[in-house]
Amino acid sequence: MWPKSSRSMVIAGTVIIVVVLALDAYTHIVGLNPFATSYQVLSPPSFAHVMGTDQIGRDIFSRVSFGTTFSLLVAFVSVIISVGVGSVTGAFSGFFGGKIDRVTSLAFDALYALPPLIIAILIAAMIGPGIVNTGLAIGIGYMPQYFRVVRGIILSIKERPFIESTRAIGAGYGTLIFHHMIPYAIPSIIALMTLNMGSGVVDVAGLGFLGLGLPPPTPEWGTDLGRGRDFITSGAWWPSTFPGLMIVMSVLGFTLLGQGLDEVFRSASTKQKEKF
Amino acid sequence: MAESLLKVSDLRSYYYLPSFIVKAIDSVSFEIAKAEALGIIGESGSGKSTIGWSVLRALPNPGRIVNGDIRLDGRSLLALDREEMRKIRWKEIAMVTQSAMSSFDPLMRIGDQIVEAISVHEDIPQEGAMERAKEIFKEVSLESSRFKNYPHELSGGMRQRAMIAMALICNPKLVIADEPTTALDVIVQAQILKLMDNLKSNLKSLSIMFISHDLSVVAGISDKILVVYGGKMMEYGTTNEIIKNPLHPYTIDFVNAFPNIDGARMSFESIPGDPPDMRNPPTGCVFHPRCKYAWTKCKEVTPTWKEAEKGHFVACHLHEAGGAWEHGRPHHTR
Amino acid sequence: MRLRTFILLRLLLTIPMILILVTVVFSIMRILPGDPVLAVIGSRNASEQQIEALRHQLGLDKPLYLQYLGYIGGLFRGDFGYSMVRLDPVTTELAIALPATIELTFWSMLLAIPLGIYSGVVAAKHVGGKIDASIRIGSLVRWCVPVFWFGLVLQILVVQYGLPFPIAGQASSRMVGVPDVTGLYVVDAVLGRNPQALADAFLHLLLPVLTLGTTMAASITQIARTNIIGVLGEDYIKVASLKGCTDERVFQKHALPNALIPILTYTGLQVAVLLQGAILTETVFSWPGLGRLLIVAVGYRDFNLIQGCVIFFALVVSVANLIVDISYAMVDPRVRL
Repeated sequence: MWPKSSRSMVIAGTVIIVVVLALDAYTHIVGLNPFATSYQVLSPPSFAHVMGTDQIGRDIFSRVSFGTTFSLLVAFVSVIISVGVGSVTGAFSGFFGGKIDRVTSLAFDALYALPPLIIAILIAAMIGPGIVNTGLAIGIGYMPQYFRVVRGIILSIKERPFIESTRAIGAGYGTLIFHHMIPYAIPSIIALMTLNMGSGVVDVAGLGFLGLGLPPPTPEWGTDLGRGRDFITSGAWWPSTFPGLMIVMSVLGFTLLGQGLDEVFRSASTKQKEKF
Repeated sequence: MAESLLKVSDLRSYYYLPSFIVKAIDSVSFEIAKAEALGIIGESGSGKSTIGWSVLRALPNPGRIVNGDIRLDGRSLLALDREEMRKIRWKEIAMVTQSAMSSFDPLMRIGDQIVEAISVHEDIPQEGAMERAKEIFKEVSLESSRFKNYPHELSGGMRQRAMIAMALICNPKLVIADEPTTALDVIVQAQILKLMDNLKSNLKSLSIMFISHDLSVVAGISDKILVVYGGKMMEYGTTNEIIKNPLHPYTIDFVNAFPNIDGARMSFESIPGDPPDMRNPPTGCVFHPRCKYAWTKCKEVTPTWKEAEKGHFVACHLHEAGGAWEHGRPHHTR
Repeated sequence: MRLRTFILLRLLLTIPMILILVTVVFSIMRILPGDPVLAVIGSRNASEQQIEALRHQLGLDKPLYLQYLGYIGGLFRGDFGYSMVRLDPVTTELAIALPATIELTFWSMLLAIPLGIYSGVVAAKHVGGKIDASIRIGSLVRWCVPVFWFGLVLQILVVQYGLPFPIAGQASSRMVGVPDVTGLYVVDAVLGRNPQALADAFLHLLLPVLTLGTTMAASITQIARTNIIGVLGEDYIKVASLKGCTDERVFQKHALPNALIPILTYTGLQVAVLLQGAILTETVFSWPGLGRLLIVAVGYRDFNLIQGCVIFFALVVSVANLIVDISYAMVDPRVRL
């Protein structure tokens, strides 16, 4: 049914995400403590501490697995915010067209020019860290993407006969947009959301690395590996390496899943009979 | 009998897809003589386009010529290596496709693309090639000012003319026209057909293989017609014979589906049923599920290709021993 | 429409876009909670008078719309205000940091574009095969590696294996004595005819450029591959091949030019990503460019400097988009219609 490469991407992506989540769950179930300090400061990976300890003796493995919760949570918040605002404005703008559309499109086009990370840095610097704050900071940067995609889809459906007939029987704008038109955009939105979970995780880590992320003792991948920089020259490679590996893994999972879904949806909508 | 230019024998071309094999053409044989126009008609998916692609050995990727012989002027095309075939392409056999819009490189001017057709085959100085191109443009009634235009700047009809010009520029012996007018509106279609007819008379040595699903279009220009269905040949004969005296039930339906504007008023019949699933073609006669006159033999035995009347061939059990064909009409099933 | 008209319209469009950007940045900085004055003063015990004096000096006691107009007016004059911490015009700070960022991004793209396009071409030529698969997987994984972590790993490797590459800064002391003509160390070293300085500059560029360059190359590879495969499937490619063109000719004269347009367009639009990457890369390698300047400014809560950096970035991206749009129209005759 699905083309082979997309199928394996979706499966691979899902597997990776499940592994990541399992690791996170394991931490909570077993009761690992990412905040417990000890006297074994900066000790390399060993049986006791699989990933070593950081500069105040905390177990890095606990911090890394626990950090999954925070990274995914903030990324999720950012995706919800950007999808919510971006898609709805895109739908309305595309549907109503005219001056409203031109102005809104211009605004979002301009916003597109601001790299998401920079907006995030700006906002994070102004309103400070926190799950919702950081989520908001990152989410704003990705709104234009959803705006564009949804607006594009709405525009292409707008002229179709079934829309006219639905209007003719008296459907209100709200019903028309949400009940009839947005469903066409859902596959693209879902694929984009999945991919943006990946970008979100990277951006959260980026902010953390720059010191603008969740406040101290919170175990967060970016913050931890940023903090670990100071010890690289003294040979302690593990505080910065392991959180990074987790980032790569989770992003890989979301990206594979997202791209796989995108390919699946794309091939489903262009299913044509081949002429021989 | 006119000299034979192209001889196709027992051609089979299959598409090897991941889960199944599509037998696009399963044994097709015909000949095109010099200065003759053969029309190949059939529905979508009948394999007609595949015939054209096979002759040029340009089947899209999962396709392969599995069996058969294709001879141009007695020379076997299948025996040539890639480089030799490349030299034959366009110089001896050219193609005019349906999608003139997408058949031109959008970034190159029309003139340059037409000149390219010559320059990849002959070592001609730029001006010589341009001269030739301008002459051909005259033949297809295009102003030479169009040379400098980009493809998107031309109308559909002009693009099609340009395509025809591009096909003719190397003076090929055979032009394969694959649905050349399908994408055009009726008026432009008529112009193009008239043009092709003129070309046929002017260029005395040009043979044409005209592939289409539109009988009215094919009938206007072809000397002979080959009817294909489900990758197999159904009927072959002169245009006159096919139209006035169709022998195969499919051809009968086909002819009936195209009303004659100055003929008697008749009910408009379409061909019932759907084209066959080429992954799993019907047993016996490939047309039997849709045939009004089919009986048990049609499901079990594949009909043979026979010369039912002089120069008029058909593959149908109605015309074999035991078949019910009387006074130019089939009997209804037993 | 004619090319000239298109260019003119597109240029005019840039003005409202930049205005919107500036407004957005301005709003974020003024409207969000957080008193910039207190942020600057921090924990230093200052009297009410001093706080008010600073507020007045920064113009923050004026009504919001006046501040806005004042700022816009300043921008037109090229005045971005004063850095509160460095006590010099923001424009000066930007000018000092700019060459370093230019150098970093230039060499990174010099690596990224050929690398990306070449990998994409190779992958497209071997679609479905093992080579294609490995290139796809490679670029995908590389894309998932955060740029700052990649840089850190390079630094770790250098330290762990004792490799003779500098892991921070733009140059070591060997640059002393080289005239500061452009601020671009490589260029200056050449101009100053100082081979050791040149080598030093390149060595310092090595790790940061590898980091940022490969990051950008990853997405370019994917786009190049997709576009070339897409173009190869077009009808005119088939026709060109039927016309008798050799495979090489088809690829070079027809496929590549048609594919390069969207590829280069996409690359142009990656300026935003490039700048983001530059910010992180500069932080990792302590590279004295605009990115690091921004982060330092954030650390000091240097209001004007932060604003200036962000607006400058936005301007650069807008100009880049403008150039992309215009080039696209110049190269593809279909766009101007």
